[in-house]
Amino acid sequence: MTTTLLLAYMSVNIFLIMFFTANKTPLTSVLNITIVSHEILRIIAGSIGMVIIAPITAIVAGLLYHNRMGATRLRNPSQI
Amino acid sequence: MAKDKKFIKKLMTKDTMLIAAVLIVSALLFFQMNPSSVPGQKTVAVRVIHIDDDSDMISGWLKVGGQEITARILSGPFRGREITVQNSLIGDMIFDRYVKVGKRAIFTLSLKDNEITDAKLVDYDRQIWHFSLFAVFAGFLIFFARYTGIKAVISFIFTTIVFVAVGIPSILAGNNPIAICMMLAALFGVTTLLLVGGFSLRTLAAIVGFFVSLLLSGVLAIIAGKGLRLGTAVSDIANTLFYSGHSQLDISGIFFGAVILGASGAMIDIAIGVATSVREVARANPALGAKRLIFSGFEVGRAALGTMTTTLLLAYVGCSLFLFLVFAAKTTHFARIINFNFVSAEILRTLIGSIGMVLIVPITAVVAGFLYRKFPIPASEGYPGTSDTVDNSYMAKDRKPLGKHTFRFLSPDGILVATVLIVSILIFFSFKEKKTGGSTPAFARVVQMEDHTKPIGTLRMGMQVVTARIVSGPYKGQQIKTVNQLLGREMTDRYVRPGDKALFMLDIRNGKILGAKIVDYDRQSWHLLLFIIFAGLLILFSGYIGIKAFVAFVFTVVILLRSLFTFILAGYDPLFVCFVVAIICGIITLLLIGGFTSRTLAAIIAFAVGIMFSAGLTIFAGYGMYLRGITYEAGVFLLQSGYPALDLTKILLGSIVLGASGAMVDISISVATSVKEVALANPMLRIRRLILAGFGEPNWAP
Repeated sequence: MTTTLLLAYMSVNIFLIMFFTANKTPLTSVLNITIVSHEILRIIAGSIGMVIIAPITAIVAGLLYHNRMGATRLRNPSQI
Repeated sequence: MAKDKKFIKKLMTKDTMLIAAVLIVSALLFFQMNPSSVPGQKTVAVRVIHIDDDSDMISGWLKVGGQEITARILSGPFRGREITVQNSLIGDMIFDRYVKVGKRAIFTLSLKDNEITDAKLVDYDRQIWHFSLFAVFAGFLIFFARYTGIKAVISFIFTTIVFVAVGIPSILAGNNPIAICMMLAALFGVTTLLLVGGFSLRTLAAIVGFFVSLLLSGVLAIIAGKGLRLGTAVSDIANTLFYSGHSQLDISGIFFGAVILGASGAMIDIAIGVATSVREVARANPALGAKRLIFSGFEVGRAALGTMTTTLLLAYVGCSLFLFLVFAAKTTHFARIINFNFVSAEILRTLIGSIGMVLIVPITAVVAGFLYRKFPIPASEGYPGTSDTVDNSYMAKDRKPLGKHTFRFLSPDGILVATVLIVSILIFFSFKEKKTGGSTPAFARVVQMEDHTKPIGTLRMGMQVVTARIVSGPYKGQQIKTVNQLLGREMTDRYVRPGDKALFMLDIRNGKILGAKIVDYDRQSWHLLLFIIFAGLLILFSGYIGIKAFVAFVFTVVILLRSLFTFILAGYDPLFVCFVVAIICGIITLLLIGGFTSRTLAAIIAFAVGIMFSAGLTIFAGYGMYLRGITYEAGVFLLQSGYPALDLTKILLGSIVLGASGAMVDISISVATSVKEVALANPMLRIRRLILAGFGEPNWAP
């Protein structure tokens, strides 16, 4: 899933990357130019959002379903 | 010693070899990508220690004048040396950099005989921020997904480096861009799938499905792209590139290639999800026929598609938020906006990507079904308690396939679907177009054309006398005659041929057509065709879930079109508007796909928390990096066209949050679903086990 946003965003910016590559701008400069920095933030912040949501969902869903299964557990106390 | 040998043997699996190979290739490419730059020039990081400010504030925060910056060099052979540079501020919102004392910046030094002759300010130094953000990302990923996380980080790095170090230079060298992009997509697909799925049948099935679907959507992109007649004017920067000495580049080819490449990430996800589930079913019951296996693949594909369809939509709208705002600000006619090159290009991108995602489900399911039938899983790999002689009779009784839902209007689900659809339609049509003077748009078909143009390169210059019959609107059937001037400019020229349908602006006074002007080609019919293909395939393959996914897609489009742009331009806080729109679209999509269940509740709560976290992080990093939204031409245009109070930085940060929200919706529902399945399968599980089961959800790490 992490390459989904990466590929989507990089291909949107293909002309931007080509522009800097064609002009032989040094990598250190390119990476710090505001417009490039925007896109880097877009990719990484988006990816962090994707990564962080999985454990949050796991915890919330775990709590919710554990509660819901409570009644079932009470009926079968021997198995716990 | 023997123990050591065993350990080494254990390390030498195909899996680790692959990881090592991918890492080595990435490293080699990375070092080859960063050569010693231009001779006589060096880029260094500095810290600003003193500033003589000689600038005056004009209009708000824009300054004119100069700064004399004294800075200490922090890297390279001149480390520790202090230099002074002149930084002139010319009042250009895009290129001016106003720096402050104490900040890190990047300078370009001009060298002669190992001495600094001149220096220039490039921008603030943001490398530390990029690096820390990446570290946070990789850290979270590896912490939560362990080994799979490591593989995901490796495939992330590999994809980035190969794209920049191999893909871009070979396109610039003049190779066929569509072929290059297809090969890149294939390479990324194979690497990612092999890393995640290992050397197995399911990887093979996913790869075959991915290739076929890639090819099909590629062909579709090219056909539709030719029909749309976008030329080189697909985006601002593409135009700049083309006219700055790179006119040999096949811009539209690069664009189509990028469209396919952009969709490939989402396609990879779905392919591995479908193939994995077919394997699991084959393991659970090795006696099942191909038909039943294929059916299970469809089942999982359906669920994935349900939320995935808005992922690309939101990601692409997030990227082009400034562009769309400009069009919304110009309040031209809807028909003009939707047929304009840049907008049309974005529509093509979204629809082709979505069609590719829908196509991959049946293809992968069929391939995986037949593969697992042809090469049955040995009993040793089956689930405990299964054998080749599993009683298969229940299949005959259970005719109604899993999850084949029947649509009932009076269920909460049916009511929700109907309500969302009606609300979308109402919002869409409640919008009134502003009348601009006496002109009105209409489509007309060219019946006759006198050509007085001459070809110049790929364009034509001169004029053509066009006679056309109006085919839409209140003036349908009338003939119009107009002179179409072609200036040799890609952005404004619309060369038409007899039989073409084009968009005309009619000059109307007292109900009579006084004149007409060709403003664009008819691209809207192509959009509609693609949209019908997308919706048709979605509903054909996914049935009722497809309908719900379609409704979620339509709702998101309408909210973006009619609420997002309107509220931002009306002066509401853009970050807040983007946040609210993301939350609303996310919740509606989750409710539609997940129904009114506990898993939907869990997904919604997690989505809300997750998006708040990611918005907070984006704001923190965005302001920390001194990012300003003004870097875009479109941003400047917005400020100058009657919206001087817009906070462009907040629009930029909002667009980042909005763009990621679609992907977050996907993951939240799939994790919540897997927790639910585990809880139902064994209600006795302790809470820790349940949470860990959600962590183990394999779909989100690849």
